[in-house]
Amino acid sequence: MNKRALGDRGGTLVFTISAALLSSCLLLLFFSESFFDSFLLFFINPLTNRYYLGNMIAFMAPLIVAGLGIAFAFESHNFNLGGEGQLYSGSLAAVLVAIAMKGKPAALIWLFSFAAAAAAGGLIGALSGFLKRRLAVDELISSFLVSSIVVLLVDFLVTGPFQDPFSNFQATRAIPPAAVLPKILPPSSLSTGIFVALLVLLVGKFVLERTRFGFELRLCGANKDFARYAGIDEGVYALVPMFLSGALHGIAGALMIFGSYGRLLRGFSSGVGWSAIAVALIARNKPLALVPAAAFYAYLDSGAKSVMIGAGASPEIVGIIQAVIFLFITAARLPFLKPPALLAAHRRGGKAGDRGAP
Amino acid sequence: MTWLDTLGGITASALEAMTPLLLAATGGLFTELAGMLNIALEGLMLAGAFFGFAAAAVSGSLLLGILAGALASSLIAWIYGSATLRLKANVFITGLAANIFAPSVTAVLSAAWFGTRSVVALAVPEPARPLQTSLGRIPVLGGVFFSQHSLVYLSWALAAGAAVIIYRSVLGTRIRATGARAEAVAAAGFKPDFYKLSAIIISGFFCGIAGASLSLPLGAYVPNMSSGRGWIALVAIYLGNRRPGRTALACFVFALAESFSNYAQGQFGIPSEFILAIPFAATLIALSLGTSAKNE
Amino acid sequence: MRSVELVGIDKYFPSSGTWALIQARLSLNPGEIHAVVGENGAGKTTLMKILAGLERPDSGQIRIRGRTVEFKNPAEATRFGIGMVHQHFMTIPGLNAAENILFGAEPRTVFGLLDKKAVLRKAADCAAGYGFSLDVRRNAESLSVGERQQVEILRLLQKNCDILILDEPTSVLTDQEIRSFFSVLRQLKASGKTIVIISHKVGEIKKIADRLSVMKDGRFLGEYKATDISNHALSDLIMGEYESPRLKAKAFPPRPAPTILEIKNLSLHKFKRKAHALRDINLSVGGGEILGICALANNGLSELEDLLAGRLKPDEGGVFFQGRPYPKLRKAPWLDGGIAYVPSDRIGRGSCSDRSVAENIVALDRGSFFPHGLLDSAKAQARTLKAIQVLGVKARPESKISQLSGGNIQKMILGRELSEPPAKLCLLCEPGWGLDYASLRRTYKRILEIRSRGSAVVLISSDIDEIMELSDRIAVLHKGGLTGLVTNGPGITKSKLGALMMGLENVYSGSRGTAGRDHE
Repeated sequence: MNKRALGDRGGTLVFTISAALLSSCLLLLFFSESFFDSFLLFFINPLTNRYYLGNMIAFMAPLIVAGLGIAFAFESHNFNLGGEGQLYSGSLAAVLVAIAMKGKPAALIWLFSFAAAAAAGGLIGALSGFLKRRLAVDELISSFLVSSIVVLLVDFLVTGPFQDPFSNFQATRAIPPAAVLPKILPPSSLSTGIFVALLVLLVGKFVLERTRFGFELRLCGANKDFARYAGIDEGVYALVPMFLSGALHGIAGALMIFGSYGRLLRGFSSGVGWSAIAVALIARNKPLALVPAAAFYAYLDSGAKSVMIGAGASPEIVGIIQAVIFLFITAARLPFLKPPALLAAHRRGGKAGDRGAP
Repeated sequence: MTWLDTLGGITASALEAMTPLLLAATGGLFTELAGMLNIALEGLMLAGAFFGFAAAAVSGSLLLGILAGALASSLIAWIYGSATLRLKANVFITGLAANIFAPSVTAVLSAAWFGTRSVVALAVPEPARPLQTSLGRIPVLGGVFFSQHSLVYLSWALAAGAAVIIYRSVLGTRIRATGARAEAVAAAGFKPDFYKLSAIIISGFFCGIAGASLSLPLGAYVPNMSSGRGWIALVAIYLGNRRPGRTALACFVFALAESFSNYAQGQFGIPSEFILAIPFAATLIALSLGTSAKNE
Repeated sequence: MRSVELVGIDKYFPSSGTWALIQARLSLNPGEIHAVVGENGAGKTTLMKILAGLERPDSGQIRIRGRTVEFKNPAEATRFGIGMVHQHFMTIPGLNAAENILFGAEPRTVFGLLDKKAVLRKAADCAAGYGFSLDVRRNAESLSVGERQQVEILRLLQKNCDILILDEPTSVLTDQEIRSFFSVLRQLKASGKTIVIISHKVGEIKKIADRLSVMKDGRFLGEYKATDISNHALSDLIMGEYESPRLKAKAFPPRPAPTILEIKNLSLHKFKRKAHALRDINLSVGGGEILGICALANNGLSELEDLLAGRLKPDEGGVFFQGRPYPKLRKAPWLDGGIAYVPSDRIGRGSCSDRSVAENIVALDRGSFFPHGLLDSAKAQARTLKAIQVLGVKARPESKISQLSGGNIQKMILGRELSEPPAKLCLLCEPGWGLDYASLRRTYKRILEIRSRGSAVVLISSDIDEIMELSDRIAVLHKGGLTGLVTNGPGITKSKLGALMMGLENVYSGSRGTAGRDHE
């Protein structure tokens, strides 16, 4: 089809998840003091320990929303690698609005803060869409570059003009306590933010799958030539999906602030923008599948944190596992397995256009 | 200090800052000519920086450090290339894998080997400045061109060598042919994927040395020390029209921007975040202007 | 002894479900120029690909100098001295002509470095040895089409090929280039090479070939000496004189109506490196009329389609729909101001393969099917069933297009574009492609019905039977220019149209302005 076609095969998913779990075991074997202890900490603790379970579910919220943002971009065939910057800018906007609205009713603060987050993230995303449409700049590179600049800019603002003068953290002042989303499972950071995320997901699913806009967006992503033939202005679909993708990343950032941190800490995201890509790829851009995909990813992340505190392993092993996921998740063939004759025959009979059809 | 000295100082540090960029761009040139947008340069560089530094610290040899950096990056490139070509995975997502793998694996190993996940500073041999005492004495020019450390000259030699490989060798010809017209390579009875994989591994080799040229002269490994240079190298290749000479020139311009901003920071106390952002901004602006000019 | 003999070759393509070759054969004498002629889709290229090792026959034998051989790949054919120059050249940009000629067999010095001097010398010697005037130092990008062709031929000669297969070698050349190309061929023949030319251009073939083999519908029709057969006899042979098996009725009389589509002074200078794309086309179509436009491959038909589809911009002139500039974005055929368009690229453009039949129909008219932005499933379902029923697509509305056969996809597209109410303008490209007899009849009937209700139909087809069957007037393109604009009737025969398509005759009288529809 085209150079950016993403795989769509069940076998690949099973293989990728197995590879991710296997590499987790190997990493624990090599980089922790006791394999057995850390195995329990990594795989079991996140499910049985109230604190880790709560954190795991809490982490799903931004992953689902940002993953939805990636799905909007990928479904329209736009490559958004700028999630981090969109998330940071959205978070900052939300925090600033919330601080400025101190004393107002919480519902009002939430409304305006999340709107500000969506607008800020969306504009950052739309910039790449604009550059693509107007100047034919590859959105893959430009979104990354813009995001890198934005992250540094936010870092500067957080440690400079907006730094909390009464705090030792490199962070902004806290948002009004009333605006912090209610906690569900203390002492974990799980808050009602997860319901907000699920709500956003349902709205996103509805837009993507049921509306004219979503239909046109997916059509442009699937076959530009046909979309054009059908009379769709495909230029719009370079711009608007990138805006929405950025807006969702902004909301994801705001959810992290309002749900867990209560203020914008320098480097608080620790790569949610990238993880969202992994989540969206595992879910094959299907909105509802984002929930289990985010759960799987959050489970690995929670396990790594549990091992870090319990057995002194580096939390970066999650990055390695994430790399394993990225390495295999789009594979059209699997290693070690020659496509069996049976499968090949089935493919020939069943789905045409495995690779040949445009 | 006269303005000439200032200019000379900025240029000299630009030449040093250019070294990792030039090497990464040279590596990226191979993949670009083979017809692939290699976004993994960044991660490959970082891996080279860490493994090069670690090997040099352990062995006490600069050369072994450089080789180890090159080797480690080539290995990662081989994995990344195999997944892309043999498993027919999406090249951008596998590139992302390499970019995420490198900082994670270096952090994990850094914690395991050196007991820290942040800056690792150990005694490594300082690269020599071979020409400083001879040609380096020439006023101004000597300070700019002949007082550099050996890795700077190595990068020039490697870039020139790469140009010879690209245009004068059978391998280079085949790689270029693969990028330009893969079906013609296949029609002549060769495997285009073999040349693509070769190009990816070569890019890993160069990026590894590029990374080593960041950590070794500094005598320290700093997490994420490649700080976007892999992406800048990509844009340099693009602005250099995929030609070695022009790509080197583009690298120099970006390096000049970097060293000027460093100078400006020292002079005017600009926050470091802005300084770090300048290369990205310059790259973005250059990319936008360059693309629109080409579309005219 | 014959140098090459192909006997009883069968080839079936499961993907399209067609027999490309049925007991096809060919024999070549050493040192001759042999033309393989036939219509598009006659099986010429498939047969030659089998000889060059690019395709494998289902049955039949290949004999080279009396020895039976089997080729698994092109390299094995090369070992027997057989090489093919494809219609699309394999010239590699970024390398110079010499490096292109010697690609894969470059002389080297030490360390795997190219011996640039030896490359240039060897290539230059090769070129000079066969009387080519090519400067081998030049970059491939700077070469003209004719020079690229020389590079391709030299690449084979350098590999010691003595049987050269050339696929439509003149289709991309200018007249001047063709002349020098022919002298190159004569030179090669003089040095003992056997040359096979695949072509459908009667005039040229007669000038250059010694003997020719005629193919039709995958079968071998006969072998002739070029001097033994007249141009017109050959043209009749290629086009076929047998009675069309198709519906023969003008069931509905045309009703004259105002001009709907107008093409004015349209020119497209260069496109995809073709020397001539379209030259000064003036055509107009009124309501209640079918204008057939036909041409052989590479003569501007696909460019004309892309222009009418709004995918290409003309260098000169313009296209007008009901007196206004042609719309940038097409509206669904059943809407006011809509245009029906059946593209020749049915998989890439006419349908979206990983979407359902219903989605492929809904896609054209989002405005009506998404009132208030949300899908009106009932309406979409109704329209889908309507479109499916026009030609009886064997699929459910929720079936994915990728699960449909080629013929069924075509029926879905036709049904969608030709369902009620008909569009004012119908642009139909190769509408009969892949259809069985019954569907073909229904399609033609529907097209005639739409015409009688006042729509203007532009029928772009390389199938001459289809053109003659349906058209009220017929425009013929040759090398991007009109060679005829005639009213269909008893005087119009296949051999007449064939002569126009091959450029043997030119009856186009209309210069600017007068080329419009004849209203008499």
